Amino acid sequence: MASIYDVGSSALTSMQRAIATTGHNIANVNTEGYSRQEVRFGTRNPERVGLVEIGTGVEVTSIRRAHDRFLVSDVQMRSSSSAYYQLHAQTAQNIDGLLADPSTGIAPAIDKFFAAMEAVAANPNSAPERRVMLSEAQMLAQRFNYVDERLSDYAQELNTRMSNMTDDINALASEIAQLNQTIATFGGQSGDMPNDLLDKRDQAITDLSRIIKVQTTTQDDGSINVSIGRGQRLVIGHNAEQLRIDFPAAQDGPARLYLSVPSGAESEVTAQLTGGELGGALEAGTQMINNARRDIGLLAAGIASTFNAQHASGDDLNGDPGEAFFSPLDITVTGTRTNSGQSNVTATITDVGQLTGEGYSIRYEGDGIRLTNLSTGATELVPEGVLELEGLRLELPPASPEINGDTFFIEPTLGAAGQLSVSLTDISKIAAANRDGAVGDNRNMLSLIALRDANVLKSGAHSYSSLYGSTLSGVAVETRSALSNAETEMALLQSAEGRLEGLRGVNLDEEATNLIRYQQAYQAAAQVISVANDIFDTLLMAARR
Amino acid sequence: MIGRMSSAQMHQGSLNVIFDAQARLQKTQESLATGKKVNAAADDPVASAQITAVRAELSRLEVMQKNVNVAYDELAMTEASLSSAEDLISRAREIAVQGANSVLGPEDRAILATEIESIRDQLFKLANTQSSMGDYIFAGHAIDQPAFVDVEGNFEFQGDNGQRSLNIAAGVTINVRQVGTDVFGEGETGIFAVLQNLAGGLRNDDDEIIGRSISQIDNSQQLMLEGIADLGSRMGLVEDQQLLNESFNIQLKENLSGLEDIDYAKAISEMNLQMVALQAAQQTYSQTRDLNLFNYL
Repeated sequence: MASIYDVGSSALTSMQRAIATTGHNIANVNTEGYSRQEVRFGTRNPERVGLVEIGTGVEVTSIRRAHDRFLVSDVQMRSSSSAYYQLHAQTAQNIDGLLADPSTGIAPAIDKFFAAMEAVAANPNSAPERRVMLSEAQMLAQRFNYVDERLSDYAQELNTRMSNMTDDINALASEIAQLNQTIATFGGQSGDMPNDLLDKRDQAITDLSRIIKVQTTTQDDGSINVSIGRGQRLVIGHNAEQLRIDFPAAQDGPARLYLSVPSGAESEVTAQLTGGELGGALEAGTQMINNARRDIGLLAAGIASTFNAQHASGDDLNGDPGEAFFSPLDITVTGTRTNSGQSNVTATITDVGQLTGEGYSIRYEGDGIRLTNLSTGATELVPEGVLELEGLRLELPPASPEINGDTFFIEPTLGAAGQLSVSLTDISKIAAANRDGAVGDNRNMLSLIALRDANVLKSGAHSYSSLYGSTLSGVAVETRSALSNAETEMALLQSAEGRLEGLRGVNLDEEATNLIRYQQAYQAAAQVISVANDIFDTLLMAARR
Repeated sequence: MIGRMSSAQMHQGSLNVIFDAQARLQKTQESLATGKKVNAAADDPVASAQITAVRAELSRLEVMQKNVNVAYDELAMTEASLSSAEDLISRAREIAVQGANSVLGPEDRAILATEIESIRDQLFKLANTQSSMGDYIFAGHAIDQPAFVDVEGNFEFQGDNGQRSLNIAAGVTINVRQVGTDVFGEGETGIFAVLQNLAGGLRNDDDEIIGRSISQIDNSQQLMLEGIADLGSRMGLVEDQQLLNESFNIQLKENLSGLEDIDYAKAISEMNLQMVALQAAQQTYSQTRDLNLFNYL
């Protein structure tokens, strides 16, 4: 026969556990990712006494965490998209601030340069006006240099951040794998769940989703497999793969990401990764910075080339044809570090006016030569030899096994703004006059001024001013939509987090109620033991008589 | 989720309300302090792109207005020179008519001849008028040398036909110069040769030459008057353009103000509302933060 003592002490033990759990909840009221735990009680197995069954008390059957995997995965998904747009908006704001700021923007410098040219047109043989024009030209070039340098800094900063994100992904992947291993030792049985470890793993996966979009699948042993991008396995059971980032061309150049695979090799996943901060940096951030650099580079290259051409058609104060006013800009072809060095792609600008302001890459692949438009992402196989693109001529060496895998980046305008400089130093060499015009002739200066509104760029679609205006308004529109997306995604994330927190977060009032409830039960159980003691004493007294 | 909220959530929720109210109030305060609703490009990227475009247009217009003034001054200076020249030509015609009178003796005619020569010299000086910058304004593009030179008594034009055009509005240019030969004439029919001949005729008592000079002076005067009229009409164009530029300037400034300036009345009433909201949020927080069952245990 189960003693009354046993019944009472089962209640005391169970209530102690319940109070301890309540204490644990209270202690973790501010712990991020903590799920409140709930004690489930059950009756102990009854004892058969003759014809009846007598209860034997209470036991704690399980301690469960308040959990809803749909809410958790909703938060994880929203974290990815929110972080993606957050990064996009941040980058967009940086670029927009740089281009639209009256003190750093290029527009005011263009205004001042052309105002100085108007002054030369009004007094073509006067030295002070010419001097001002030359110094305003230098200011304009410096402004272009500055903006390009800042954009290059943004690109480098973003690359550094991407490196850090890659490190974080690897650390989180290892943590998840380790937690998987520990959790699996519990065997995934219900009632005996390592609640705090499950919380930790959920939190690690949520942190990971902030950096990159993940998909998860739960295994029978309770471990969770995590894949990133378009199904690339990052964590399988207790194994974590490693992600590696590389900037093969330049510190501010394009990123390449590689994921190790169980065989020990690695495969490139750059194009597969989406979502999260890393996806935002790869797709939106880098793309936006580079497109801005290409656009202002196109303007710089366009000004240098068309201004020089018009300048050359006039005469300077000495009656000589105009020399180069701006230094001519070179086009750079960058090969990646891992290239074989066996042969090179060459590129020349055939007509600045036809340039689109887009960048290209050429990659020698097993099946041919792949041309990719870096701005639009369009890609195609092209034949070897001379390749004419808009305003550009490429010469592609024939494909061969030696150069298989070689990649070349052709950026006609990216970075051009950083190269712009004024090569003319002698103010008398400003060619204000038409050919054979006398010193009072300002006609060529008027023609130079007219370039500002002449549609000489982008195949006749844009002038200097309209190209900058359209770059600026393009960035502005993108910034506005990025900001509003970021705001929307943030609100969605907050509401998902609110739902999850509402379900699993600790409510102190609730815990206080539980505390009282369990305390009272404990006191009552103690009474049971006291009564049992009295009964026993009574029995002893009776026996003594 | 209805019915359940965690303690951290309640705490954070009250704080968030306060933060939001503070952020909104700060934004309004900044607007009121600067008078601008767009203080950084991020406030309204699209408006700020438009602001940049309007500012560029305004600074360009400022340059155009400067050119308008330069153009007007140049034209006025030229017109002043030519008006003086026209006065002198009128006087020369009077003298020629007087000289044609057969009553005059050789001595009287010699005096008239001297006066004509003096007029010719004054006209020569006017034809070589220099601007404040030292330009010979009637020399076309060859502004660094006199428009007319005296080659052994022959007054020859050594400039060219060049114009000096200035931009006074987008797509509007105005020529601010007058080529010397267009107003003073050239060669045998030029005013200098005509006056030279007249002086010779007066000294030699040659009635035929004197008589012919009168009609030649008439032609020269006609040329000069046409030049002055042409200048006048160009000055009129410049004045019109100045008014157009000014009204465009006002319009652009209105656009700019609409894009970036705040409506003070609206902003102040917004600020009052936001202060009330912030106060309410803070009071709510301080009154509810101690509501906790543990206080009653």
